[in-house]
Amino acid sequence: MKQFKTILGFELTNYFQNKVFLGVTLFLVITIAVVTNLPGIISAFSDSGVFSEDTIALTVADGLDAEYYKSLFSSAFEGSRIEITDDAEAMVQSGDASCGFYVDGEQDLRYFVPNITLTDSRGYTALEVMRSAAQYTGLVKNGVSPEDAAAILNPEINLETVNLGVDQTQNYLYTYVMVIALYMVILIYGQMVASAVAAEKSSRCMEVLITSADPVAMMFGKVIAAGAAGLFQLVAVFGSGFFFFNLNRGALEDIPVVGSLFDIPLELLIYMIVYFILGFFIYAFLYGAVGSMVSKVEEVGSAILPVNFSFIIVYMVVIFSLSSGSIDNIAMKVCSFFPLTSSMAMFARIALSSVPLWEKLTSVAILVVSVFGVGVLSAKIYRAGVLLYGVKPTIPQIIKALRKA
Amino acid sequence: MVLTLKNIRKSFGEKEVLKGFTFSAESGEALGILGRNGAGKTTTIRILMGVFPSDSGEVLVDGAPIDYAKTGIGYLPEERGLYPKKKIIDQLTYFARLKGMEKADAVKSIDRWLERLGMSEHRNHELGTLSKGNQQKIQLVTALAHDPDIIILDEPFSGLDPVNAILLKDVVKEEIALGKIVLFSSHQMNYVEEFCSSIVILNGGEAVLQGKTDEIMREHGKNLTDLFVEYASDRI
Repeated sequence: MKQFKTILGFELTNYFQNKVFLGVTLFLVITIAVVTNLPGIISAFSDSGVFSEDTIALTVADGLDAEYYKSLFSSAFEGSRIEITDDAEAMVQSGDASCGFYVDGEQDLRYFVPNITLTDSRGYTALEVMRSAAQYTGLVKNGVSPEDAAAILNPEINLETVNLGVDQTQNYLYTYVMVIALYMVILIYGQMVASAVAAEKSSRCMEVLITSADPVAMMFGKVIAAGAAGLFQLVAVFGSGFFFFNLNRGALEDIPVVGSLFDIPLELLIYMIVYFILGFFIYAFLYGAVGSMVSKVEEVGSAILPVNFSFIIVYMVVIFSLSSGSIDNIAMKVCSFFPLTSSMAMFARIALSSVPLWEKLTSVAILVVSVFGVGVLSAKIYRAGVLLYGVKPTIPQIIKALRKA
Repeated sequence: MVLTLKNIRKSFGEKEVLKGFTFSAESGEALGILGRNGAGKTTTIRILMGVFPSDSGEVLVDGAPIDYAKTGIGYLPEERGLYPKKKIIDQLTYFARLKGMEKADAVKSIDRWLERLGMSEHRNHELGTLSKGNQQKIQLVTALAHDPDIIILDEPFSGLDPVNAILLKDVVKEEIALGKIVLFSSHQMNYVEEFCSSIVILNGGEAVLQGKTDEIMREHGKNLTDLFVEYASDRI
């Protein structure tokens, strides 16, 4: 235990003395500070006229009610300013408007746009505006009173949703963020563990280490230190995010994505932390074991490919299931119990569907037992692997070495 | 204290590396473990240090199985290397603490050794900034700082200039005088002759010649180099 503490302390100090690690953390915190303060910064500049409100130019042919069309466009393009002009095309060309429309008749519309972007839908929005207007005018012309015409075109329908499970629209974001964060932390820190072990081996530092410390303490110390460093970075990033969010709550609360991100239910937060830590450890142990089997740091990249691939496949399954909406598909159900995949898959299911308690507990229990199992196994591979120099050992050789270890 | 390795056998796969190797060494003496490359010296050292177990045989201290918590071992491996990017004092403290020392005692002992080896000025430097010979002196501190009962030195003189070689010779002699057991592995027979009151020549996984150095040389009428060539060469 004393050795474990010494190793943990040493490895943690390595991370916190690493300028790249500190630099990246600081960079992320500053980026978050800038992003969360962006609404304030923008409004400060817009007062001075640097940023202006989006303007849409509107030209209406003679004989048509320009103000009527302006009001229709205003309600359809919320957040944009509709400016009546004689020449919408010229305004767009000069850059005074982001786009423009020429209403040539009740059923004729021209759309001016500097460039059609991939997501541009303003032409269709305007088309809908014109269609409603034409329908309304048609009804009124045929003797329907304006009130009745409005009622026919916009009937009031009441929708009452009775949610019997979880709200996917709300939890979707946490799941996405957690899955991506776990993916990144495992890939980055897992590989750091593998590289650190390989570096000790290639510098022959291992000769002293392996004769000074118990390999189980070495492996657990290294992996837990990497986990703590990763967690520290996440806490720094999300903590500063939370801090700056509260500081700018007024401006940010209206943005639904940001608002819901910091409104995570406690139960889900606990599952997130549990699965995050366990999911990280199981992979970090594997990376550590792989790192001990290569002789040089340069070989780490190719040696960890099988671990990376299996991990990327899990990530894909979860991401596809997330986007497809069928979160409880059979692949996800299997993945939510298999220890290498449950951290992502089960968390996604808990967040986005109604998972019975026994399933959650079973999944966590399997994962906990597996983390310790893989940890001890990795330490044995480590003990056998660190003394193998030269040719990369084959799988049968590793199994043989494991039996002896 | 008497260290005894008794009938040690060890195979890796089909290859039997040690075939019943036996030797013993006493406090206040240096034992030269000699043998050609691949003779099984490193495997013997690793079994002695508990890195992996032997297939059969025993490692005994005063007749009882070795207790690593009570018997300290210091090791200077032939393949040298520490953390090139870490401060010397930080990594030496780390290794001493892994050997069970408290931080304050570790720092005190390390400072004493750095002073003894003329390395105090480099205390706060990164290891990678030092010359190979000086790095070797730093590595020697990892073997000695925790005041071990048994000191294993594997080719300690390779890469040292004559001045540093004399310094190391003095240090080894002091340790022997302090009553430590020194196990010395080297191909430089002049050093073996100078330090080791006993030798054991390992060939093909077993001891082919062992005893008091001067007695063996007198008996055979040969110096150590000739004895090494005769006994270490034909069985591998």
